[in-house]
This record gives sequence, C-alpha cells and structure tokens, in this order.
Amino acid sequence: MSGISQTPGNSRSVNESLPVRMLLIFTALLFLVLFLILPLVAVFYNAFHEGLPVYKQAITDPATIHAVILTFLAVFCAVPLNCAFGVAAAWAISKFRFRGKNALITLIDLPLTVSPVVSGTIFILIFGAHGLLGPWLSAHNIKIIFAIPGIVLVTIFVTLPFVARELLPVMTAQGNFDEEAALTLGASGWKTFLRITLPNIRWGLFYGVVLSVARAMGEFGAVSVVSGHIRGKTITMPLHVEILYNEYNFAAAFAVASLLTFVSIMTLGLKKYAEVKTARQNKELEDFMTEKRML
Amino acid sequence: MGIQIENISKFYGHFTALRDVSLDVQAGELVALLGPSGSGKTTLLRIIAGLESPDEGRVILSGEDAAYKNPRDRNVGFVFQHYALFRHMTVFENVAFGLKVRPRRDRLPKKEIFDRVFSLLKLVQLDFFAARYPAQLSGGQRQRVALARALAVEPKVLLLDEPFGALDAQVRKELRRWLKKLHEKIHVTSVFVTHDQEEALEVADRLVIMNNGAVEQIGTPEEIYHRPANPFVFRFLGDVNLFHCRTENGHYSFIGQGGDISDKDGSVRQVFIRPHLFDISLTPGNRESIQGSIQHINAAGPSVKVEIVSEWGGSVQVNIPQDRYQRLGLQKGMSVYLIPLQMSTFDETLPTEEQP
Amino acid sequence: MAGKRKKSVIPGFGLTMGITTGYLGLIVLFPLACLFFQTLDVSLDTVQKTVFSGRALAAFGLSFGASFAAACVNTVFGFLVAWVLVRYTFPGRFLVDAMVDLPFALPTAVAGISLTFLYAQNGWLGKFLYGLGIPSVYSRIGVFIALIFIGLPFVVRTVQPVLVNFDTQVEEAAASLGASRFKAFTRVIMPEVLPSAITGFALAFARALGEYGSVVFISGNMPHRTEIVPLLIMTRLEEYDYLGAQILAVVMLVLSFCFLFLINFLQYWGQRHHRMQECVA
Repeated sequence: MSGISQTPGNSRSVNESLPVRMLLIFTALLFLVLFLILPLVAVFYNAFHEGLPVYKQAITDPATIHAVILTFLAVFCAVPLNCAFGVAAAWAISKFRFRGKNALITLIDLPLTVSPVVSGTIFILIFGAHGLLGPWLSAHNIKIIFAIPGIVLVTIFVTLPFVARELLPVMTAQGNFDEEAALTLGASGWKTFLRITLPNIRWGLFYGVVLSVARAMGEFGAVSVVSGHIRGKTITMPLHVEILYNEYNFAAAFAVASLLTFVSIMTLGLKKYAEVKTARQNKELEDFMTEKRML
Repeated sequence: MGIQIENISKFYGHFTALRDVSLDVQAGELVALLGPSGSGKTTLLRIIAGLESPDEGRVILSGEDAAYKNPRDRNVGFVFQHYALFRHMTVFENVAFGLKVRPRRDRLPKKEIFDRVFSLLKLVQLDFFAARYPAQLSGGQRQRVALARALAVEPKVLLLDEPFGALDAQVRKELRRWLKKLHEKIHVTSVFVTHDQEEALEVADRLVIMNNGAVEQIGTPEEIYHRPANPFVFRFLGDVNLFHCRTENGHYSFIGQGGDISDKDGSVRQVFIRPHLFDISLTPGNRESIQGSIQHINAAGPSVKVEIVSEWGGSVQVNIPQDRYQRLGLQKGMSVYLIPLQMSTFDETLPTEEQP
Repeated sequence: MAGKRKKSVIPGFGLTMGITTGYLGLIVLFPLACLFFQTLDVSLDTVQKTVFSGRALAAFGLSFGASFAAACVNTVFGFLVAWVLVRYTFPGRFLVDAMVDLPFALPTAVAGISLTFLYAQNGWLGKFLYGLGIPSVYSRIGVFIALIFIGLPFVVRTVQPVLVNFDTQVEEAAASLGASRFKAFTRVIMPEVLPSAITGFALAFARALGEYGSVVFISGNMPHRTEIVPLLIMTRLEEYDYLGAQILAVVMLVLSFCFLFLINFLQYWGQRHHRMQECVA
C-alpha cells in the first residue's frame, strides 16, 4: 500500500509547472491540516490546557483506571482469539482450493461494513432481556448484556476481520512452495507452520494484531450499545471519555482521550514500520523470482 | 531405489494433465523429463514427490507402493524451480533444516549435523557462504544451496524441477556440467524436468519425451536424437524441414512441402530433414534433389545458415560447413539444388521405427 | 486421514477450515441468522410504520445526504492527496503519508469531541465559520464535517497504489503526441484511476452511513434535524423500543450487504480493468 517508494521521473512532459505543483501541494496539505492535524493537536491542547496536575489527576482517577483495566481486559480477550482465527482462516483460504472461497472472504469482511451500532443491537436482540436467549440466560443467572461478557463479545465481533485481512494477501502472494519444500525435507505440519510460515508472515501478522488492538481499545458505538453505561462496572475508555465530556469535564475527557490518541499514533508508526519491513521482504521475494541480483 | 510409475493419470476438472503414463527409472539413473510447457512433466515430478496425488495409477518407490505416503515419509529430495529457499535462514540453516526437524529420537547429534552440512556445502562449493542469507547469493549459488538442502536428508530419489530454468545462459551451461559430474560422484537416482532439449541431451542418461500429458518416447539421448519415434519428437529436438514425398517401388520423388498431405491413396509420405543433413549443389546431379534459390545467408557461427526458397515457394533452412560454403561461393539469389543426406519418414498411424 | 484422493499435501485443511467456519458461524453467522429469523415474524405494517415514519425518514435522508456529500468531498480531496503524495516530493511527505490513516486508528469518540471543540462557535475553526454565518456544530454541517474526517483515508488508499503503478511513459507518449497536460490528465490518467476512485468512494460512503461515535458529539442529535440512523437506533434502544431498533438495524444491515457486494464487484472490475491493461502492455 505504501506509495512512497517510487517517485516518477522528472521529465518535463509529465510534471506540472512549479506554481501549479505548489498550489496542489498547498491545497492537499491544507485539507489534511484542517481535517487531520488540527483534531490531533486539539486533543493534546485541551488535555494539557489546564496544566499537568489536572491531567495527572484525570488519568489517575479511580474511574479512569477502572476504564483502562476494562478496556485492556476486552483487548486481551478479543485479540488473541481473533489472531488465532485470522491465522487459521488465512491458512485455509490461501493454501487450499475449495468452493465458496469468495463467500467466506465476504463473510469475514462483513463486520467491517456493518455499522457499530447495528453490531451492538444484534447482540442485544439475542442476549438482552427481551432477546432470543434472554429468558434462558436470566433463568440461569447469566448476564451478558449490560455486563462485561457483552463488551468482550462485541469487541470480538468488531475486530474479527483485521488479522485475517492483513494475512490473506501476504500468504496468497507467497504461495505454497516454502511449505512444500519443508514437507519434502521431512518437517511435520506444525514444524512447517512454526519455522517456515510464521517467519514469512510475521510482519503482516504483527500489523494485523496492532490494528486489532487499536480498534478494540477505541471501539465506541458497538460497546456503547451493550454496555448500559454502568459506572465503575461497564465503562471502557471511550465511554469514559463520553461521560466526562457530557459532564462538561472537558479537561479530564481530553486527558483520557489523549491516552487513546497516543495509542493510535503508535499504531500509525508501527504500521509504517511493518510496511517498510514487508516492502523489503517483498522486494527480496521479487529479486528471488526475477534473478536481478547476480553477485 | 528405482522408481516405477504405473499407468498414472491426473485430471484438473476437464483438463487432462497426465494420461496413462508409465515409466521405470533404474537405481542410480539420471533421467530427464523433457517436453513443452503444459506437457505434464512438472505434474509427474510432483506426483513422484507426493506433492500431488494421481487420480489413477501407482507410484512405486524402491519396491513399495507410495500411494498413502506423505511427501515427508517418502524420502525424496525435491529441488524447486525457484529453489524455495527459506529466506529468513542462513545457507547453513537451510541445509540443516531437514536434519533439525526430525523427531528427537531420529535426530543426529549437533556435531554430526554440523559435519554433514559442511561436507555438503563443500560438495556444492559453498562452504565459505554458510553464514550468508539466500538474498545475498547469486542465482547459481542459490541453486546449489537448494540442491545441498535436498541432499542433506540423504534422499533415495532426487527430483529437480527445471533446475536451471531461472539462470543465465552462461551459468546454465556451467551448472549442468557440474550436475552431471555430481551425479556421477553420488549416484543418487535422479529425475529432472526441463524444456530445453540441449540440456536434456547433454545431462541425462535417459530421456522421457512428453507431450499433452502423455509419453511420446523413452530412450537414451543417442536413440532419441537419431531415431525419434514420431514427428513430435523429431520436431521437438531441433529445427526441421518438412516435405512430401512419393514412393514407388523403392524410388522416391519430392512432390511438395509443408505439413499437410492432401493425397489419400497412401503412397505419399511426410519426410523430415534436419537443416544440417542437406548438401548444396550448383548442378542437379543424378540424385533426387530439391531446387530452390538462396534468399538469405548468415555466415556468422560454426556453420553457415542458408535460407532457400524451394520450387514450391516455401522456405527451407539449410546449415552447411564453412569450408563447403567457401568452396561453393554461394551468393544471395543463386539457384541451387538441395541434396538430402538423411531423411526420416513416419507413417501417421504406424511409426517406421518401433521403440522396444 | 489419507483418502484415495487427497486434495493437497499441505496439512491442516480440516483443522483451519473447522476453526474458520466454526468461529465465523458463532460470532457472525449465528447472530445475523437470529436477527433475520426474528424479523420474519414482524408484520409488514409495523416495518412500514417504523421505516416510513417522519423521524426515521428524516434520519435516513440525513444519513444518506451527508454521507454522499462527505464521500464526494473525500473523492476529490482524496485523489488530490494521493496525487501529491505519489507524484511530488516535499519535506514531511513520509509523515503525511503515515498520518492519512489516522481516522482508521483514532477512536471515533475522540475524533467526535475534538472536532466539536474545533468547530464550535468559539473553537479555532468555528470562529471563522460562524463569522461567515455557517453554523458548523449542532447542525447538519457538523454531521457532514465529522463524516469527512472518518471517510478521508479510503479514496487516498485506493487511488494511491494505482498511481504508483501507473506507467509515466504513457503520459510521456500522450505529451509527445501533442496532448496538453490537461488533456493527458483527463484522457489518459483519469480512466486508469477511475475504478479505484469509485471503489474508494463506495467504501467511504458505506463507512459514513454506519458512523456513530464521531457524529453524536458534533450533531446535537435533534430529532428530524440532525439525527442520523445509527443514533435513532440507539434512541429506540434507550426507549426500550426493541422492535423499532430491530427493524432499523435490519434495514441498515441489508444496506451494508448491498455495499459489500457493490464494493467487491467494483474491486473485481478494477482488477480486471487493470489486468486487461497489463495484457495490452
């Protein structure tokens, strides 16, 4: 996806004149400043606007800490599961030929297109008090909606596609030859996966996990629907931001928001890092195939 | 440690990749599977390795039916066309991989693995590159790493898929001579796939010519080259000129040129003549000859390539030695007579020379 | 294990396929099936009343209108950003390229409160807009602004790889044949980029249609005026009107399906378009 690697030739016929170029760059950058940079700056400006003590107090508040813990709990439940699923799905889809492959991929993509609020609503309609399984659940005293299991469940739903989506193109491009080579050399299926496949897909997997973590931490709409906003119990970080904001406690709201923003900036950095790494890996692969590097 | 292939067929949907292929490879032999792309030779190789399974027929490795054996249990070494070297491992680790992944009870001690890998790297002349990564090697070096890796597990059978396909012409030539020598040294039963007839004729003990999923001919390079079983093999092994020839009580006369025969009474045959099996004469002489005029001469090279337009308007390729060319003093536009030195004929239904 | 006809030597098909279908079935298919199954019982009359009520219609109108407008803006500027990133060098290009994905990574609630702060009457940008008589928060314009933010990366990321792979020799050829720069752009570059731009547009539009977090803060949530569909579903749930929420959710879900198929089709079309070009080259 990276567009940075290649700069077209500087031949005159395919380049705009300097003023036009400057104007285009200026317009693009202005648009990005207005819609990307300023919101980012505004978060940190407001977070620290009332001074460090206020910031520190906001993020060490017991309610905040509880929200952080709950958020991490959701992440630790959802991400490993989706990671295992993503690897299995990418393996099944990229290494074998079978009917209905495209339907399967579409199904994996589905949670990305569904509105977060709709995702949450689906789970309410199944597990909620008036839902399909509601009577049975309450008879057995199991609480899913307006409780932590519900939050974990929607987080799993919302972040389900990320690892699989990152791995699929990587594994499809790499083909089966490395695995076949390992098998003819006597490696077992597990050893082949651990020693050959995993190193080959590590950057895609890494970025898929990073993306899942970021999305799991920041999910708002779906979690908002199933959480019930019970203070000290079912409040994740984004919900905590909302509550603080609605109480006109702007400094605290932005302070908690700044933590989430920091995570998303880290995500972008790690994405670039993984991209540079995969680009290098792909280049090697290409050199391998086309025999460009003769010593 | 021979390989017996019995009546193998393989289908991909409606496409027939292999049709009733049988083949015996003797222990210690070096056999080439030669054919154009799409002839099924790589599929056959992958079936021997167990990477594909046949829809019909059996593969017998050292007397044992291998049908239910995984590739990991078959004890074959496979060298992939693009080598499939593990990019995150050094040359040493690549070669040692097959030894290190054995179950603990069968695994060699570390020292022995080390010694075995190094002796193999010496064999392929890469012991100084043990610590390098595949990306830091040239194509020919990678090829040799792939070979050493496959040999490390002491396979009973070595299979090579287009081993020189991805290399430069110069490196190719060097490496195939080297492979021939290596095979003479270690004598492991080997099968390799190629589409390059020159390569197959030079390296292999025996050739299997394949086309459209079936075997056209099996034989030594000499047999195949001098006694091709059918028009396909003849054409595949080199340039060829086609003529129509009428035979009547021992006499023959050229009556046309090209592939299709319009005559139906059976007395007209298709005749194949290689470019170097013509002599050029300036006079008709008393032997049956073809008349034509010189259209183009290329004298650069070990022999002179002359292109002639025949009396039927088609073009004929002729290669003659340099000294003969000098002696005749050939010029563009000259009228000449082509005297065939050796001709081959095949009846479409009945090959003139049957293979044993 | 080994049947007479083994499909592939690569192991693990049963295991991975089992995990994949089992997990998908449990997390995605089962809930969706339940929802549709439950909705089958609902009478058509109720559906009509829910979907075609004035409030719902207004919400759908706003959701579609604002999403469409935002996706249009994102297509134009997304193309421009992709062009600038691929074709020109300027300091900070690497950083800008990394930043484009921010709306993917930033939690929507954070984006919502930050945009509200910026565009409020006394905010950094709101000051100017209100000065011009543009009410930029608690209005439909606010919804529009939030949807621009969350849809921004899509067109950039779909167009960028196409521009990277675009052969500049084609442009040079156009120039050598006497085409002006503008003609070369409209006749040579645009047709090449169009499929990916349309895909990006559809992705941005689909995302905007379902967006909730960033909009709720800036829109003011006034029924009939600045209420989007996801918010209306939320309101219905809070009023314990589960049936109303369910019907609206199903409608949104069906729309998502349609978009998913449309986008898959567009991508397929774009790839085919590309492959044909490659064949010619």
